[in-house]
Amino acid sequence: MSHAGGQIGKGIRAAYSAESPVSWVKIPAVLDATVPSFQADDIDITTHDTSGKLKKSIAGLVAVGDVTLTCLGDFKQGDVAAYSALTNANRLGTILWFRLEIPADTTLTLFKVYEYLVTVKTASDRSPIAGRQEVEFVLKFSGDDIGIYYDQSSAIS
Amino acid sequence: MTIEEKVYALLAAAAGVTALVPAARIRPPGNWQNLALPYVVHFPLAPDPTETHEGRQPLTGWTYQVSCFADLYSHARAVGIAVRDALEGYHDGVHFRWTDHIHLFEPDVGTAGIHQAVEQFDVFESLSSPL
Repeated sequence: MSHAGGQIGKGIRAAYSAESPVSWVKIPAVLDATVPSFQADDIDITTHDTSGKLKKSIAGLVAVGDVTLTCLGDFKQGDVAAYSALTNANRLGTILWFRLEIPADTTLTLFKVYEYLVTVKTASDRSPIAGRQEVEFVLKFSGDDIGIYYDQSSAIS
Repeated sequence: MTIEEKVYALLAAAAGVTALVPAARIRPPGNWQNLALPYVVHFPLAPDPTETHEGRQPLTGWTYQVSCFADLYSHARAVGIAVRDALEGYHDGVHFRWTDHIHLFEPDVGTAGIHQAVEQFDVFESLSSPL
């Protein structure tokens, strides 16, 4: 299989669900989003029997990186239910389902999908004197596993 | 309405500006060297649209330049100040923030040269549709 040659990252979609079975609520106007990362701990298993001067390691437990969503701000009450819901979830420590879709083709019909449980670690508003208003949410992995699915249609509208 | 039309409407309605420059001499870029002094030329520079992952949003930023031409430094300066006072702030959902003033003098234009007070603004407007 050959490399597709690359494409720009525009077209990410994000959504949450407070219920299961899920009913996805779109998180709109995403300016920037970080994608979950996975980093394993280093477990040193170097012993006196290890040959040469090289250390030896195995992979330990995996830490899931936080997702940061930066969205165009809208602070009028009732305009964007998703922002209020995520802010309330931050205050209450509510666990939510989260879905992140990364475009996998240039027609934005196929996506690589991450789906897992999160808590809202940070919810913050920004209103700079000379710039656009923004809201930022940091989402922390709070489940037992992450579903990663390829070539999926979008479930977010 | 384009941003140029919005700026013209604000300047033409500002008594402080029209006391110095009649509305008919507030123009977008063109061949205006035969216009009587003082006159004003205004135009947008460097659009800064807001793009989200779902597409371009109505919020658009501009750098906007208003050039005030006059026979004397004091006249050009006075027009520039009047323009700044007319545009600075919020007007019908468009935010103007005055950011810079530059003065230029071209000695070889006309019989005694021409002074140009350049007033620059950061402008943020919400468009009904993207550019």
